[in-house]
Amino acid sequence: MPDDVGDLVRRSLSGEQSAMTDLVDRFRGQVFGLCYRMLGHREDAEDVTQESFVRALRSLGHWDNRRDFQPWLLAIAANRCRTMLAARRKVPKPSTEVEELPDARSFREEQHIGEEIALALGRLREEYRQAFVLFHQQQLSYAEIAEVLDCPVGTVKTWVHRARHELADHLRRRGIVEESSDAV
Amino acid sequence: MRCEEFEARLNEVLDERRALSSAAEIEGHARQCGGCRELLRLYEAMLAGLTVDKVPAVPAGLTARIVSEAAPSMLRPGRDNVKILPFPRLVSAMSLAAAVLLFAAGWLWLNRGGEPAFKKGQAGGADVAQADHLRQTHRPEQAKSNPVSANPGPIAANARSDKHERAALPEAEWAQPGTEWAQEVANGLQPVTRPTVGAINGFLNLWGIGDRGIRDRGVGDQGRRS
Repeated sequence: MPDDVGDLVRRSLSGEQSAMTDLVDRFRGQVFGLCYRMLGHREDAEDVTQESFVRALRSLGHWDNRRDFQPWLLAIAANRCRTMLAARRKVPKPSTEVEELPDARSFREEQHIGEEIALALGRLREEYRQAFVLFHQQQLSYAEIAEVLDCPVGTVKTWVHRARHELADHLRRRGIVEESSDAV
Repeated sequence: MRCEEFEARLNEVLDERRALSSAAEIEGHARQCGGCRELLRLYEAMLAGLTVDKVPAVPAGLTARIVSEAAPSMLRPGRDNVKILPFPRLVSAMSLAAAVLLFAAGWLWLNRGGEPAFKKGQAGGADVAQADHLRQTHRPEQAKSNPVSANPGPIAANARSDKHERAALPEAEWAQPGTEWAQEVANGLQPVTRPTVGAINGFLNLWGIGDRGIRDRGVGDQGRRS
């Protein structure tokens, strides 16, 4: 696969549009997934995915073909997500957009635990969320995540562990799991 | 296993991408401890939620939009596909500094000692002959009126007498307007302006390598002294 990607990159650099299309098709799911998890908003994720790919294609010449393409591409997407999140923080939320938490019981009854997880992910610190999403949903190794996030592997592990702890804590507070008695 | 180690052990198993149920010691401890059992269930719920929480399908037409936006710039040769050197500003600054230094060094070399090449080489004779040749080519009318100087034989002798005359005069005098030297300057035989050279010499003299320094060591000014 890396050789295929290398070939697609080489052909894309020579201006072959079919190669660009193949390259985008191969990674668009992962990039869109990361952007969606990071931003929690479909339209924003779509915009950032498009922006990330355009940047990546224009910078293909900078890609070091001795390294994996995927972490390089996801690093661009992660940076664009961070930029989008920073821009969001600068714009105050209108009062009508105040988040209303649905009743936890209805969630449990409708088995919408996935939405609860998505909600909890949105409340995590940005670094925790990125590391968690890249590990659990993008299935990247710790070394690859470290490359994407440009930080030591140990830091990535710490972020993922803290993300798990905070998610579990959120689920506990939301009553997703019934408290059990000590005796079994 | 102690309860304090339980969550760390959960993380170890998940880091290895193994199912929590596959770790017998975790299951064993959870059976005995309600708090840890709850934590295990929370972790299991979290993992289940990750599989339930699906990312929406990639929007249709996204690939086409990306390619149509990126392709035009990809087709421009040398636009974005060129590898950029690290620290481009530093490289530019260093290139500029190198160019300035090269220019200054060349300029100083051409004007070393503050005197033109043909004057510096008077003691040798070959440069003197070259200077006379230049005089002939630049002042043909004078050559006609002075057949001695037009004759290749006496040229060197003429130049040497010229040299002795010049050597007998102080520099301030033979560099005055109206002198033969000044005439040569006007004819393009003297490529430098002396005040500028003097300033650089003054700077170089601080390190003993300028005109004065050379003169003090008896290297320069041979022609004027002889």
